[in-house]
Amino acid sequence: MRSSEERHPWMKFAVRGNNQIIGPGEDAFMLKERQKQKEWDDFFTRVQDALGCSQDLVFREVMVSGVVPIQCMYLESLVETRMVDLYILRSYMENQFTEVEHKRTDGDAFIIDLPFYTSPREQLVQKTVQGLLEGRCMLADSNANLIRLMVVAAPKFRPIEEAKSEPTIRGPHEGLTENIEVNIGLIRKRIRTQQFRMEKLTLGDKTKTRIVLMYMDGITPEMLVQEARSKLQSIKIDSVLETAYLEEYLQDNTWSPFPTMRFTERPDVVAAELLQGKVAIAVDGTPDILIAPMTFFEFFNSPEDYYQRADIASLLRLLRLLSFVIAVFVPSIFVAITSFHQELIPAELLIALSTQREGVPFPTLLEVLIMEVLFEIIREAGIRMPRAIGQAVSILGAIVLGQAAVDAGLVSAAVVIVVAITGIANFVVPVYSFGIAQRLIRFTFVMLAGFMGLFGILCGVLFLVAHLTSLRSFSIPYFAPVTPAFFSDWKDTIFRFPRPQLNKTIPSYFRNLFRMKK
Amino acid sequence: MCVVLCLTLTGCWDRVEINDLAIVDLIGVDRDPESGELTVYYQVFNPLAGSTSSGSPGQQSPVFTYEFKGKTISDIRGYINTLMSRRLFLNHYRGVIVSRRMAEQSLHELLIDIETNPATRTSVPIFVADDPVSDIMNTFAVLERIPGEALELQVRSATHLSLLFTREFRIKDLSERMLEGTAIAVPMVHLAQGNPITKSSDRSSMIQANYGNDQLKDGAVIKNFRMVGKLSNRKMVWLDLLSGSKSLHSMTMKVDGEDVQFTMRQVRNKIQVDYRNGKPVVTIRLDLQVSTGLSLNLNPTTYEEMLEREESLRRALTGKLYAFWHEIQDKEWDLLSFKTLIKTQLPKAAPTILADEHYLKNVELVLHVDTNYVRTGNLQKKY
Repeated sequence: MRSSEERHPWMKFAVRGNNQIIGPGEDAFMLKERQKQKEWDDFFTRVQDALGCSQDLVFREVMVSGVVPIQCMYLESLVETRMVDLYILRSYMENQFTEVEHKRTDGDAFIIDLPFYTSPREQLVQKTVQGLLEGRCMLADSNANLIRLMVVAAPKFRPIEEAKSEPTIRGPHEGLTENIEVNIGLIRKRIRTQQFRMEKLTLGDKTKTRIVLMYMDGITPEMLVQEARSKLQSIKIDSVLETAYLEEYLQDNTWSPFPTMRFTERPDVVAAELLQGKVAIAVDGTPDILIAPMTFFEFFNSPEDYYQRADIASLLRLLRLLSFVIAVFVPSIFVAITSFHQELIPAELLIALSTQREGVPFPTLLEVLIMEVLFEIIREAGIRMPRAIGQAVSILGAIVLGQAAVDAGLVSAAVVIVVAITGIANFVVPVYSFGIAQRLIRFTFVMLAGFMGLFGILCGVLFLVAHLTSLRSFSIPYFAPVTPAFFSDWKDTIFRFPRPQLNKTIPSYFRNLFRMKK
Repeated sequence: MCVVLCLTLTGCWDRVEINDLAIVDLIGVDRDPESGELTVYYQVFNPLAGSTSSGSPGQQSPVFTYEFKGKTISDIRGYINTLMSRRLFLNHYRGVIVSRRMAEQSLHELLIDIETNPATRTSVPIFVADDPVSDIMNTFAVLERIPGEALELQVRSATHLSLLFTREFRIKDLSERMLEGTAIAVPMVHLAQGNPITKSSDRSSMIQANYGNDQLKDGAVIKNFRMVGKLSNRKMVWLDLLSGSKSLHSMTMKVDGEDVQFTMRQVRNKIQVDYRNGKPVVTIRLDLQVSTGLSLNLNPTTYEEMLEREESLRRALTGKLYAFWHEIQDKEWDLLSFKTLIKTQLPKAAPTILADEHYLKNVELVLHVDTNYVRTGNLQKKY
């Protein structure tokens, strides 16, 4: 195996430089100094080896007062080099660097000083490596026998843009970014109160991702905060790259298609939900923030409901509920009544459907399943492909697969219409993860309808309602405030009453958590 | 796994695709009184004809009429699919046309078949054909692609926009009346002019709408499951008025020796039955709004003259209604369902009254007709 010096000529230079400084004339003092220097060199080599002699690892030596060397090490891909040059090294060289910092939270200080000789060497190497990976600059002050780790991380994030997955017409347009500090700033600027609380923890044995639990002190039930905190602390995971990694640990029921938490890319939504007494979980490196708990009917609420007139908002909520029913039940009802209950179809419609189906070789169930699966494929392809091609795929899918399939007599026009209506209705629900749940249960209902007609759909609905009422999201019944009934909350469930008439406090089903605590 | 697989099999035993169905649009029934042979016509929709507007020359016929003969309906059912490739689907038929000769024999068997078959509807109209059923079943309609649809719309429009047909013309109304022991008048259908048009291309290329088109005219009186008589269009108007229909109707009638054109609409109808001197007395109050705008010779110029005219028309109408009542009373056609009225409004006296088979002869009818002019002619002098 090649040594570090062989692999990195600049390291040889650094070591050779040291030797030259010390010189060949040695006495006892010099021997001691040489021994000391060897220990330092050994430490640097171990740190470099721990990082695999990475290409972006920079190791610089700075002469201070012409005698004592200051070694500086950092990962140039993570830090702001200009800050290292202008601020830290220069201050050190001019002996001007004095800073006393009071402790913020554990391990999150701007400067971390580690004594070189009194600390176990292995632990010192680990802490240094960790510091370098967090974007700190390591300064080895051999004079003071200190390893000083200073935050010089360059904030690498994209600028604040409009949330792509949640566009809005009225209301703030800025969206969250991948940088957790920026995200917290965006939320904090909306909630300027001392009640806004944040708790930080690190998750992911390999990624060491920063997680921040946000809540409103005095508004969010303590029981909810405790549950969120304990759930987060109990997570044992290698990596956290997105909020979804945590969601699967946090949700009460893993085997349910219905999400019991929501994610959002909009800081105003996070602020609104926090003010409603919920908890928000931010993960560094992703623009999505998790919000919990969520009930079934809250998925039909859009933040824009509160930015426009109450009557329009109520109408839109009804429309979203109707779209949910369409997205889930229209294909299955179509299959059921065309395969089992033709007497339910008005005569004119039956004649029209019969004409369209003439020559179609597949049974209706298969026809609907084929089109639904094709539609899902087109949609998935549209999302994955580059935007320009994605549009082309959508158009091709719509025209070629729809019109051509009808012309070729492979599917009937009615099925294309049904699938199209269903697909469009699926996008109406404001929360994307809920839309996925709709897609999943839609297929189940189509199968039930194909096997047992309306009886199958009825059985499915009974199972669905039983499942929904049994779900819980952070101890909150998923079907609240309908079941269990909290009538005072109905003012902001399906309908939205004008703001002066809305409850001034948090929803009743939340207040129950306070009671449970007592 | 076995349960799941069994569930998937449920679709196999009763799933039927739309294309496996022969969707029946209209049913025609005839029985030859001499041979006793039953003929059933099923007019079936042709899905290959497309769903565009009425066919142009060269296009397929929108419907096909199958003809089946047999002793009974069961005999016919037995061999339907020897001629028909698809499963007979009766749930959406729009009407039944019965030949006059069959109606005069008996409708009992037909009604039992329809009422007991879960696939057949009873909320569709029943017609009595004045021309051969085969002609009615084998002619194309004007404006509508499907003859059954045309007939359904015709009877619906005629009921709403005239007093020519009572609202009770459905099979279930007929069954109810027969079980109650009263009578009913159902619309009669015949070819308006000429021979049936059996080619859709002929129909769409012909300007004469009357030719070969079905027309509703007169009412067939059915009592005890048999057609016992016929009511002219004029008499159907009186029946409709007494039944309480509130449709608008225009007609001409002799009033004080002069022909008067008028339009009337019933605004209120109240019927009441009392038991006086051992006889049921039925009182019907009719409030009519009358417009004589079209009548040039009935234009009152003063208020007194208008009251006089109103009174004349009232007398004339009352006379006609009484004459109609006496006619149906003499024939013992309980078309106004007085039997049911007596049963519900005179529960104590009903057994006594109805014990007599000729109860209708004992019923006394008192009519209170009120006519109210809402519009008169606005031209006092001719140009």
